[in-house]
Amino acid sequence: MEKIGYLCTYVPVELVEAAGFRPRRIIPGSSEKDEVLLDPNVCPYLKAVLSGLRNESLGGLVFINSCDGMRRLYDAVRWFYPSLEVYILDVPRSSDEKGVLYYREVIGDFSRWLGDLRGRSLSEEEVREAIDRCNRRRRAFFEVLKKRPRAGDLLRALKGGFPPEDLSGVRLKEDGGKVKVLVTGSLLEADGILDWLEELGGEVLIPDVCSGLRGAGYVKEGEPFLALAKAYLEKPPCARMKGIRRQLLQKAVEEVRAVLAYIPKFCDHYLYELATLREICKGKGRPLLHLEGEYTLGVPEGIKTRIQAFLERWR
Amino acid sequence: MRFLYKALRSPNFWRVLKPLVCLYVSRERNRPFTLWVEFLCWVLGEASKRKRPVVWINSFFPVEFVYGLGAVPFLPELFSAIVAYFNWTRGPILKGSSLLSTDVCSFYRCAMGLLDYEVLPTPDLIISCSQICDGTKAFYEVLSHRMGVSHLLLDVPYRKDKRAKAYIKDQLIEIFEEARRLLDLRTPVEELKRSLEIARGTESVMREVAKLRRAVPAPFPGSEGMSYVAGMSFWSLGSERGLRFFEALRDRILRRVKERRGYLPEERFRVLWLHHIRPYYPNPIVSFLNEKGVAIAYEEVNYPWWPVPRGDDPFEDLAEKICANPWGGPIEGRIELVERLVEDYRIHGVIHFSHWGCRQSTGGAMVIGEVVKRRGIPYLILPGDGADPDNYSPGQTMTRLQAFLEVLQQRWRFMRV
Repeated sequence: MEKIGYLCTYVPVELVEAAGFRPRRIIPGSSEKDEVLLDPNVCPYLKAVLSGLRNESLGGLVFINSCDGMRRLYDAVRWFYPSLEVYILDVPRSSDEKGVLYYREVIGDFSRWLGDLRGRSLSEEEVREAIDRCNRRRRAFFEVLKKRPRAGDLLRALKGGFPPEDLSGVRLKEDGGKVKVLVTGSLLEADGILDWLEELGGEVLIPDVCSGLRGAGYVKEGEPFLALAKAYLEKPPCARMKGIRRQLLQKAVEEVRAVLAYIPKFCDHYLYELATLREICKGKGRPLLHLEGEYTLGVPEGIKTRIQAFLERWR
Repeated sequence: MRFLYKALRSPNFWRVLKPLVCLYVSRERNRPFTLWVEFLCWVLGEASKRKRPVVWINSFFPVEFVYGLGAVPFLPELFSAIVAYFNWTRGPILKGSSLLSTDVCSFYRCAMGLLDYEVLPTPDLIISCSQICDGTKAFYEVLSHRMGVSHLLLDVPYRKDKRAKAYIKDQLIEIFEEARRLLDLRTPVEELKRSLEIARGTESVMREVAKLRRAVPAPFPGSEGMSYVAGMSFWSLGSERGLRFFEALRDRILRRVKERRGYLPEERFRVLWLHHIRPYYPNPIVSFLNEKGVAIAYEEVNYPWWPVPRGDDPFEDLAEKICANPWGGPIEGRIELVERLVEDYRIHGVIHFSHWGCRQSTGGAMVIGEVVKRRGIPYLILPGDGADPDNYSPGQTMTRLQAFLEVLQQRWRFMRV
């Protein structure tokens, strides 16, 4: 089955499946970055994506209007990889009624693009079937989530996208950690950080990162495009979305003893959110550790030491 | 200094300062510049009077909307540029960087730091639009919480089709109503229409200015285009003062064009400056270019991109205008703009100023470079920072400019000047 790559959790993968393609979240397995075609000032994940495209065989690639870097990556890919089929989904920043209606139209256009790609338009039945399939996978995933899985395993299972197909590698926690930690930020490529945290006696609550639990919840019944638009705009939000993250962070910070913010270098949305996070942590008396991601995949020794020192203080 | 900071928020300070400063700057016989200074004193004085509500906006939110509301607009990014012009950004940027990362735009870090100095007029409302960079939504959201002031966001889509226009229009109507309610204003929509009418009149003068600047030799320095001219287009559109400023600017340039007088004693090369800003703190970039006879013939920021004609409905008008922004949406809009500018202004070389922290612009620098180079035009990416003098490397910058000059000389060696 031909693969369609996608770069963000706001892409309704149900439609990709309905069109007979296999959706694949692009989280490059190599830390090699393209420093030439994108400015050094752009996030390392995007540069790794651009570099990784040389070795990828994709039927198409779906972008999201998620950030300045992503928009420029979309331009660079069209310019420097003209033979690759690409699409950009214009996700609104608001999940209110206007936003949902706008996104429904955008999703409709996306389904037409997918139809053109396979040479036959998508039927409503195909879309409904794909929604059911994905909902079944969601159910299986949420069942595992209830059993307190290891955070690092969870992240690895989600690398291919959400809802995941294979959960066999997810191990459960044997006992709770001593220090409950909130891990928040954008893309956490170095899943070893979560293993290290848990190894040192920390207990990671649901990882609030783009490569973690930011996938859409159940898609409800009803007109499929509208249902998809609602489900994807009401999912755990990215910092790009209008004013709803603050409350969620406040609640999450209350439930933990320490906070770790993992933010890739030059990721504006989360670098600005850091100011809010600092304020919340200060107000609630929670320590905050900010780690800057460089898309290294592994966990550099310096970061390990910082996490160790951070946890030592609060154990 | 504390006294000065306090004075900046007093209407009497601006009342006394205005005639003195205007008299001082008028010695340069540059009427547009005098009008800019007069405008600044007026707008900051109005903001400190607090008779009318003060609305903070970002540069790409249509300022005529705020005039149409009957409020006083304040643009923190522009204020940061003015602070940089006086080389006072170090302190505020240091403070701002303790809250925000050093990797985000220094204009926002400076504005964030300025909050602690208490020199900025307190806002009654913040309105921002998500066009053209991510910082505009995130920064104003943070500010809104820190200051306890409501924030209304205009979510501008990536697409520019009918649906996108309708989505923007609906939000604008809602923002207008919500702003009136929050600010307790009874301003009728007619006021907004009047402001848009002035803005359209000003835009038509700005088009004349852009056309006049095609003249050889370049009649007006791009460095000034990127400072007070851009400042006026972002801050004054929709006000009578804005219209007067651009009329004065047109008249000044027209005189020079008629006299066939360039702004440089000898013009050897004409370059196009890309990106909306330049470094505003003291630096030798412009004087180096001037000395070598390199004229900044035009700058991307002042391109009159607004569509004509637009609808009579004010919200439709603004939605159309916002959608036409060449820096929003796919890079093709910017490519088309750059190609047109290269042709119209008979450009010999292009400088892309890559401001640290500005992903939306620097991210496209390579693609733009490919387009420019295909036309045989030398292209320079000049990394730097518009507001933070500590993030500017004089040695590297001058080396790059020297090399660029050599390329220009080589490329155009048979050219008659």
